[in-house]
Order: sequence, then C-alpha cells, then structure tokens
Amino acid sequence: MDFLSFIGDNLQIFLSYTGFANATSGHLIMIAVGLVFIYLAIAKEFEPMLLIPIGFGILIGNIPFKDAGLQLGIYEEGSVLNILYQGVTSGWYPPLIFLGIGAMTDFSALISNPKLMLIGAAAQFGIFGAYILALLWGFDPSQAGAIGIIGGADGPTAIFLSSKLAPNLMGAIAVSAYSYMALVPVIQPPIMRLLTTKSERVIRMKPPRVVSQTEKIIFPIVGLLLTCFLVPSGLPLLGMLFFGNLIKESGVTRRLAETARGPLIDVITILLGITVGASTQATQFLTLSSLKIFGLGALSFVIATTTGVLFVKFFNIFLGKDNKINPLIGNAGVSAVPDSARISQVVGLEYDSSNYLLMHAMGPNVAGVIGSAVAAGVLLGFLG
Amino acid sequence: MNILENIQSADFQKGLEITGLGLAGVFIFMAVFLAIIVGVDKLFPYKPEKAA
Repeated sequence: MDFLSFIGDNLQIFLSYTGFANATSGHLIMIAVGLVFIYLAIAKEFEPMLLIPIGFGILIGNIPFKDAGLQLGIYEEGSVLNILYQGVTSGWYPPLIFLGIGAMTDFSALISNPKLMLIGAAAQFGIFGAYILALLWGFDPSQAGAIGIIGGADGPTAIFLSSKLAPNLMGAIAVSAYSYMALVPVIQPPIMRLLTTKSERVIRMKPPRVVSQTEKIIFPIVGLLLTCFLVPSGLPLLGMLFFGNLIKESGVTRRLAETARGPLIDVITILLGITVGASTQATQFLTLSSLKIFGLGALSFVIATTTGVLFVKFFNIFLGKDNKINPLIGNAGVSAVPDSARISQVVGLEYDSSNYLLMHAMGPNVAGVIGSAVAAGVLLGFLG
Repeated sequence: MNILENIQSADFQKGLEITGLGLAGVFIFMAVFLAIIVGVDKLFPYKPEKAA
C-alpha cells in the first residue's frame, strides 16, 4: 500500500511538471500560430529561411512548463535562450544581418539609374503613416515609432528599432513585419493594378547602362560618409550594409565577403529567428496591443505600396518620353528584397509578356533597404 | 472620441513634426546620394576593356 501511494505521489509530481498540467489556452493558441508559420514556410514557401526559425521559436517559447528554476525560458536570466536573446535585446544581430545583406547586394541597378533612389524614399511614407496612425490609436511616441517601422518591410530594421524603442512590443512587431513580408505577393498586386492604367503598365524602360567597378567601389564609401554626416543614428545598420558591400565590390576581400553573405548571415538568421520566435510567449503576445500592431502593420504595407506607385506616376510628369518609369516598379520601394521586385516583374509580364521589369525594380528595392534604415535612424534620433 | 483627443495631444503634434522632418530627411539623403552618383558617373565613366 505504501509502495502504491509512493508511486501515486511521484506520478502526481511528475504530471505537475508536464505540459498537460500546465498548458493554458494561450499556450495552445501560440503553438498553433507556430505550426501555421512552419506550414506556410514548407507548403507555400513563404520566406522559409525566416518563418521556419521563427515558427519553431514560437513552439519553444510556448512550451507549457512549470517554473521550477529549470532555466528553460527565454526570459529566465542565464538560460541558453536568454543568452542568445541578448543579440536581439542589445541590437547586435540586425547590424550583422545588414553586413551579410551588403555583401550579397549588387547596387548596379541603382547606380545605373540613380533617380530610382527617390522611389525608395517615397515608399517610406508607409513607416511615417503607420507611426501617425499608431499615435492616433493611443500608443506612446516610442511605441508608435517602433510600430511604424513595420512599413519599411525590413525584418532586421524592425527588430533593431523596436529593441531600442519598445522592447516589450518587439515580438509582435517582428512577427508582424515578417508575416507581411511573406504576404507581399498577396498585398501588393491588387494595389498596383488599382492605381495604374493599362498604358502605364506596359511602359518599357531603357536598359540599364553598364556600371564601372570604380563606381561600385565608391558607392558604399560615399554611402557611409553620407550616413555619418546626415543620419549618424542610422550607422549601426547602414554602416554595416555599406561595409559589407565594400568587401564585396573591392575584389580583394573575397573570403570576407563570402563569409559575411554565407555562414555569418545564416548563423545570425537562425539565432535571430529562433529567439524572436521564442520571445512571443502567450502572456506577452496575446494582447490587444498585438492585434492593433497587426492591423497597423497591414496598413503600413498598403500605404508604402500606394505611395511608391503614386510617386512614380507623379515623377513621370517631369520625365521625358524616353525616360518614363513603369509605375509597376513603385511597389519595390518597400524593402522586402527581392520579393517586391519580383512582384513588379510578375504583374508587368501579365500585361506585356516581353517586358521584363525585374532588373529595373531591383533599383528601388535596394534603395528601399537604405531608405528604411535612414527612416529608422531618424526615428531613433528623435525618439530614442 | 479617443482619436479626437489624441489628435489634439502634444504627442500627436510632435509626431506630425517628426513625420515631416523624417520624410524630408529621407528624401534629402536620397537626393544627395543621387547627385553624388551622377557626379561619380561623370568623373569615372565606364570604359569598355579593349580586346587584346
């Protein structure tokens, strides 16, 4: 009898530590969200490099366990996840991602047709539009700035800024940013069709000129100096972006460039994805604020796409007949590299099967990366 | 009602100011960058390599 009660008591203690005893509806909802992310990544191939680590991180972050000093949770000081999470909270993962992006980005499309830079600036209305809407919806200025950056369609920038301005909202902002980036093929085409005429959609742009190696080398150096003088608060991101690009284009640091755009960015992407996912614990994530952030995130993408397309139409008024820009590349001003540029190409081909817009759209696309980092620097300067 | 109150708040007024300055900042950054790229193109135009 004693033996049976011994077994029973221990079994009860054991059960009290399992997920069955500790799971709440919040845990189950978040686990479902994580599974949806993994499904979208594998079955639909929506941003798999990001959604699989984030989705898996959501599962890890929402394991229903009893707090018994096991040091499992991301918010428990000294746990493995907590140590890895410091790269997010201290904001050093995003600049390393930017280093890799710089080392893999070819700015030729932008250098050959530099007026496309202005499209990358116009699309940043999405950031500031969402910032204003967030203020109207009752968020405080720092939180509103962090939410606004979702409109930049740039995950690392969103994580960087929210870790500085609103760490408590970072999980929701990061998940929102990456979710809408994955949904760019769904969000952008209807807006592009709505805002353009059939004759505008078939505008053929001049093929880009050849860019000299000297120009490619000067570009990141000028970019860095310009950042130092105009937006120093954007240096953590833009400095690393231009550094990465310089080691790519210099031609003498191939090993560094290959490491930055290969193993380094892969390692950081894994750590960033899994820790951001794990930070979305139900108690922190399932709030009314998160719902509002998702709503504002959707609006910011709509505003960014709209202003990008409308800006091209406006810009065309001042351009000669031979230099017109196809407004279908206006959407690419939101970063989301290279998905939004691909959308320009896909929608353009629907109306003219021999009008390839991809190389033209890459110009505003990489300008959007710079533009959103500049906007983040501006917001950090004012609100940080 | 809340939105109307928020419009009149000092935070919102400051927000409009930051938006104006921020967008101007982004456009100025890009415009200066554009001008420099055009200048660099004039200084270092592409020269095709001569075949041996």
